[in-house]
Amino acid sequence: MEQHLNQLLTKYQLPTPVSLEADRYVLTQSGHYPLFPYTAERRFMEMKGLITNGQVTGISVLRTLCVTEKGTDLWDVFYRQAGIAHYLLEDDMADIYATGDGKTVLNLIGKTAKGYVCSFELAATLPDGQSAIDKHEIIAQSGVVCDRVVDTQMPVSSVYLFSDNQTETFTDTDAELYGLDEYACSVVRDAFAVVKNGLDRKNEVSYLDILCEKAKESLKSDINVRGITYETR
Amino acid sequence: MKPVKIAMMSLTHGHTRKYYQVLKDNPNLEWIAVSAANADVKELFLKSVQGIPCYDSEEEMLAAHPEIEAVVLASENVDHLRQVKLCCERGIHILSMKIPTFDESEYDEMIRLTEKAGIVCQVELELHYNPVVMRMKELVKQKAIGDMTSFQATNITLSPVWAFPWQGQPDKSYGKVVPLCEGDTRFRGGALCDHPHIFDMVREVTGSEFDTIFASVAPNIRPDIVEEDMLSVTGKMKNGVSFLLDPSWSRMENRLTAPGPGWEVFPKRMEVNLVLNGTKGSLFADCFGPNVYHSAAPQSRYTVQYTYFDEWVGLIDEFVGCIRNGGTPQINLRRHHNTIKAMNACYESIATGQPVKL
Repeated sequence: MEQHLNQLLTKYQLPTPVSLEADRYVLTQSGHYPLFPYTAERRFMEMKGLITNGQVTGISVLRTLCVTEKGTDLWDVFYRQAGIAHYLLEDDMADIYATGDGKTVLNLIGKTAKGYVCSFELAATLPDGQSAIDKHEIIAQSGVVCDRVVDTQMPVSSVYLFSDNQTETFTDTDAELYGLDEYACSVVRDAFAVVKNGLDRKNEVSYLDILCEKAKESLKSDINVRGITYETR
Repeated sequence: MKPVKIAMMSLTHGHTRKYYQVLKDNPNLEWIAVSAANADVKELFLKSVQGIPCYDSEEEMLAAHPEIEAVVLASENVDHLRQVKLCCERGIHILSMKIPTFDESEYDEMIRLTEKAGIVCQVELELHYNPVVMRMKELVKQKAIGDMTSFQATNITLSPVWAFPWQGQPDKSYGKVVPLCEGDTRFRGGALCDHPHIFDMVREVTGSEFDTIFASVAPNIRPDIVEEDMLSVTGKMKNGVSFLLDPSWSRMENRLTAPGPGWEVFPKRMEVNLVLNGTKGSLFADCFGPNVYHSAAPQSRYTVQYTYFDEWVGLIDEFVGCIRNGGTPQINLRRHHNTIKAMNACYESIATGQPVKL
């Protein structure tokens, strides 16, 4: 990923070299910046675009499903999914209620300040090496927006290869970053945006930290934590 | 087996037309008559079915056909207790729609009446007879995903209120007019009341009962109806399994006065999808898919044409078998009571903003 990122930065005459700390931070000459790769992931950008350009109006619910391989930290999954919800809806979560063991399963229902309901069905139960299965669906008065095909349950790929000795799938989404998978492309694209635009994301980090803390509080106490404020941001 | 002489009452329930084929085809049934709640449904029935007498009142039908042994109560929820009484007085077996009543005292009265009359009273929860659900149950029983840790399900449809107006009237759907919560102009009786199936299924599949339940209602996607159309439900079963259910009317519809082609706006008008997680893996199931797809008339727009619609066959087989062999249906009034209690707990949670302990 780092090599692709530096090549891209060089092409667009931006400062190099930079380095990546896993998929979480980009380290530049001027600092250490958090990454939110979903903000550069094509499907979420398109979903958000449908809202911001006025095609989707009267939002009611955002439904999120994410099942990952065993051993994944579900709070990391929630951190990302709550970030996606915030990115798409541009509204703070005011209430949050959580159930599950918090380790292998975590179900949450939140309500934003504007009253949108967000449900999160999270689990870390898939066999090792299995790609995460996720789905995001916004239901609104003007219609439904979803990153999965109607009448299907699994994500689909662009290319399926069935040969004598292997079955493979490929989903290539970015010609400039050809060879990277969808998620890696989003990491590189987000890091590129940070370097190019000098994005300050302290508020978003603070928001997600507080929300995760409140969700953990709900799980522990079995109450719906209401009226969450983000004053420290 | 001697065919059971069967009738239908009211014909106002959304599932009414599902019975027409099976009542005609099942060799163990002899369809005697129907009674229609009003002139509109009578006209619709007469257009759909030939050769079955249609009466304007239940009493008239029962008086004209004392041979009737069983009745499908295809009526609005508020009429159920009255019709149960009519049947019990005559020793007529009952196939009730999915919500006998939301009122606890009425529910107890129904149990008392049916047990005193010694009749079979089965509650229509057709998902039990769905082949995908059968496969899911078998895999769970075989511990294919190990011990279950969570159960998620959608039971999402278009809203039937334009074709079946009583479902949009709180007094007829919920049985009384109760605001959702303080400051909310909507009332109980909407999408939740239409979707008991997944509440029942989580009980059966986990082999456990509800422990805590939390529900949150969202802004309506149909601002002009007076009941809730979007909600999410989560909680925990007594054995620790976490669940998350979506019983919403989240698929938009064209406002037809009778169901038929072109009813849906969203291509898929109904979905029951399940995600079960366990200690050894996960199971994903679509109870009504895959299907056939077309972009033909009347909308010339991508549309899902369902291929799964045979649940009523197994449901009626069980009902007839219980009548002739003296059995108790799996979904009887006593079994179904905790499902209704859980649905009422959802409304209580919406009113209080907190989970409800059952």
